[in-house]
Amino acid sequence: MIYLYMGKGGVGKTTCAAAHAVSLADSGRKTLVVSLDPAHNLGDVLDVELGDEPRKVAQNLWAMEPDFEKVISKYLRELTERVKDVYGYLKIFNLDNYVDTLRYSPGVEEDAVLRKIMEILKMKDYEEIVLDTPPTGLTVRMLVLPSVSLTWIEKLMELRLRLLGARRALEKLSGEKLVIRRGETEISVPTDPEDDPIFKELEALRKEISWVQGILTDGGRTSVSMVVNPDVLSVREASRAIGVLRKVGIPMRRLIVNKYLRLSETPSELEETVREQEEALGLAKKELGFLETVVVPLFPREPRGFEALREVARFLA
Amino acid sequence: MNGGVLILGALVIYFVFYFTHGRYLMKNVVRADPNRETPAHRLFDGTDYVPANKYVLYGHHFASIAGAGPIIGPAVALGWGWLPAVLWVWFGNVFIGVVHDYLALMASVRYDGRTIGWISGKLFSRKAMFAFNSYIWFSLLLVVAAFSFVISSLFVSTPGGGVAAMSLILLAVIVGFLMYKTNLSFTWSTVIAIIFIILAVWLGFYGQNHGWLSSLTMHHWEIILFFYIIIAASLPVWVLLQPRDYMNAYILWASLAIGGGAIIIGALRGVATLEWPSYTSWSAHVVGGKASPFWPTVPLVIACGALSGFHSLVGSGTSSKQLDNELHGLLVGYGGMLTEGFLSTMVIASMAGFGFLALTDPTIADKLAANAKVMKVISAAGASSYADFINKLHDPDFFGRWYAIFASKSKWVVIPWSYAYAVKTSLNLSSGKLQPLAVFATLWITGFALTSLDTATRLGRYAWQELMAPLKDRSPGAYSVLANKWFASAFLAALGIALAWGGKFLVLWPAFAGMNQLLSSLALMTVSIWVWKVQKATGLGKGLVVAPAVFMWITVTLALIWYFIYVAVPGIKEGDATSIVVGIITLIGLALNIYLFAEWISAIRRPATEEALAAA
Amino acid sequence: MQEFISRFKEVLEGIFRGKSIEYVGYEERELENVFALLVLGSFVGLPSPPTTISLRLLPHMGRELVIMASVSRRLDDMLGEMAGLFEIT
Repeated sequence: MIYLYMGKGGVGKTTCAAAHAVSLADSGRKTLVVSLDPAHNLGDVLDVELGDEPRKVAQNLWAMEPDFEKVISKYLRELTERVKDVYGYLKIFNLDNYVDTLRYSPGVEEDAVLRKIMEILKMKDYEEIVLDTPPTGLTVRMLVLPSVSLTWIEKLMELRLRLLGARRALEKLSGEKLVIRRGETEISVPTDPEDDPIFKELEALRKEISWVQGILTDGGRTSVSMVVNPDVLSVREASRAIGVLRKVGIPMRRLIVNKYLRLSETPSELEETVREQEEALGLAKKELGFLETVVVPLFPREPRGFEALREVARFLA
Repeated sequence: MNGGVLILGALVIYFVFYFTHGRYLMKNVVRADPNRETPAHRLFDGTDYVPANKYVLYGHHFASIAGAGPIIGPAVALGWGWLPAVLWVWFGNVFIGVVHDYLALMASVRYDGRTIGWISGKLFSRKAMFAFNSYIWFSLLLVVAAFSFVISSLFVSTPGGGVAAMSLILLAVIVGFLMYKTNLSFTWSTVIAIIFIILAVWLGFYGQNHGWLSSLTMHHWEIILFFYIIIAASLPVWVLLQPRDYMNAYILWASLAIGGGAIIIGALRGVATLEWPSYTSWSAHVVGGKASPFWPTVPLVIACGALSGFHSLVGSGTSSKQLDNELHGLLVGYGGMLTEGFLSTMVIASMAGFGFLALTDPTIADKLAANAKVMKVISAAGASSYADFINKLHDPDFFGRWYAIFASKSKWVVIPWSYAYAVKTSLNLSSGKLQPLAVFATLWITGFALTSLDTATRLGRYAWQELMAPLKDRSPGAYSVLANKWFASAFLAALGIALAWGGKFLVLWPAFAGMNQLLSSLALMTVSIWVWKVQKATGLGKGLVVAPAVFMWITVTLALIWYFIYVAVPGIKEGDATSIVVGIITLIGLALNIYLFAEWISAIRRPATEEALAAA
Repeated sequence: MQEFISRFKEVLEGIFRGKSIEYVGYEERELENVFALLVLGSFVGLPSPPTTISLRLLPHMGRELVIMASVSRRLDDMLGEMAGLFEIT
């Protein structure tokens, strides 16, 4: 089972994710908790030092903070090496410099995070995996990436087949093989999907991405929780994000209203605040009532360390 | 006079000019260098820039420039008599036409295979390129109009032709599927294609006396063509356009072989005597049915065959990118145009020799005598009956006065039937062969015309969008409606068909030819700048190019002014829609043309350095 | 004589084969061009597939790039180019 914790920056999703992980480990399940947020604070919350590899932090509990810069760079380097190889004879651009700019290309960061997730998912040693995600925007883009990619790939494959059909007709009727001549080199041009590296690459991509998409949209394997604070803005943003994700088939399981101010007596200065809380809760019930809703109170101190997290976990159950 | 003399004359004149005039241009004007890499090699990209075998390219170029034009034009021009017509086809071709075609091709080769319009923008002015594009759009509209009329006429006058052509469309779709979507080999697909061509002619022959297709009127056909245009132009090219174009190549080849061979044999046997008048009068009633002075109005009648602006587009659009060696340009550009002139010569010989046989053919005579519109012309001419009218046509003055009007009203039935009689008489075939031959000739002409409608609409869609581009920023709402693909097609088709609807062929055809000549005039002006400023040709070399350019400019301008005053204005006064539209188009064309001449003069006088730098 | 006839046949065949693939050839060229634009458009400012897809396909797109470059050089008079490809008269 995979648990994703989403939410705006600062709503406390790392805390909730960590707390959940701790409780799972306590119940005897081998659990891995991963911080996908480039601004890692999982280690701080657990009050341990974490690294690039899973580190055992308690009985049944492993945790890691992957280095995304490394992930992205490694990925880009592999791709560009391949490009440089093939394009030796065509001077298009200076690829070495381009590598650095590419990391800011739209989609590269999302893609890197997604790949890391897939890598993690393939680790068979764990029964439960809890993922602390980056702030909502990045996470939503990351989660819709497989669906968007699949649409592109389908269209490109369609176009490619049409193109190959046209080439086949040309070759058959002209009686000559299609070929490109650049100086001395002659490159033959494929006319069959079987021989076309582009088509095969698209097929491979489709397979990989469908696998990812399959897992993300499978309610039996993936559970996504949205963490919000009891204020209207937070709830509204969450509602929008949830809408987008539902459109691409990613199921949302729980809504966690974190840092709820529980007061026995309300001082006059905080009356507005308390009213807003109730307004937010009401809005949540109206727009997101189909979700299982859980309220977690605001703790006097920011929960840190296993004991504090166990306290939080009580409310998540 | 034996028709063979015309054929011989054409051969001799063309040969002599090819090896003297052509060679001179190649050596001293173009300065063709066999060692200089052509764009086909330098910019090789596997699709557009691919060197082709010299003869294959020549064949392609000729097939691309050949069409219905070189047939219809001369047919109409016979109103002046066959001698003036053939003289223009000969000397207009060798002094102006080939210079235009050859130099447009070679200039493009020197500019990386860029289009003549682009070159004119470089050498001339940006307005020149805009003018090119405007001329192209107007030409496309007029092509749709003129050719729709021709197709509808020929279908009505030889109903079997309509059946044959429609069958060919369906059969072409089948061929298209087989050739481009299955694994059927080239050889087998071709065999099937040829069988289908014969099948279409056969269906036409049998269909012409049965079925409702033969009772359709011109207006019916025009409506059918409207829908055909819109649908055909939105299909993928492999469905109809490509297979039909392929089959047309065989029809062209067969009709040239049969017709050309027949005329030559007929000439040798002495049965190809030219019966139509050699000369009728200087101002025969041809253009718009009005008394039209041979000079300057003949270019408004004979375009392709002597000089055609579209050839510069083909030459600089495709052929220049496939030229293997600079020396081949002479055969491709110069030779290609001469071949088209030869085709027109054969049409003239065939019609002047066998036209009377065609018009006195019993089936034709009966049909025409029963046609009210035709009889109106006959009585207006002062003849007592159809037979009397044909008799009177033997008189040159009478011929010059009434031929064009009569031929047009009789839906140009004289064209396919002259061809049929030419072949039948020369090869001594039975009369039963006349009908299939006429159907075949109709299929030939309309096959090319139908392809032209298809391509003109496709291009017109895009051209229209380009013309609307200035609106994009100023009025996005209007732009999105006007530039919409369907609107553009429908607008072009509707306007074209509407122009044809009025039935004023003698008004429409000269407008089309005129626009074509405006294109060629602009191309000539462009290449003359190239020759003068960039190539810095010898005195004679310059003269051989600049003189035709100036002559053509003067001729076309005068012709269009004459046309506007004597043809368009009377029509406008009557409130005739065709005349109004055509009149406006002509005025715009004229205005651009005059403006461009001023630009040309200043470009010629500008210092040479900039143009020289612009050359590759 | 034998050689002349066989060369004549070769030329004739070349002409007709060429006639059968003219327009399909242009269509194919445009398909290649469009494919290249779609995949690589991001490098020239067009909306494009997720960068990964583009980068994974890039190594194989030699021919498409050549065609795209060749076509884009001539974009400033596309009407003239197209008018030359399609037989009008």
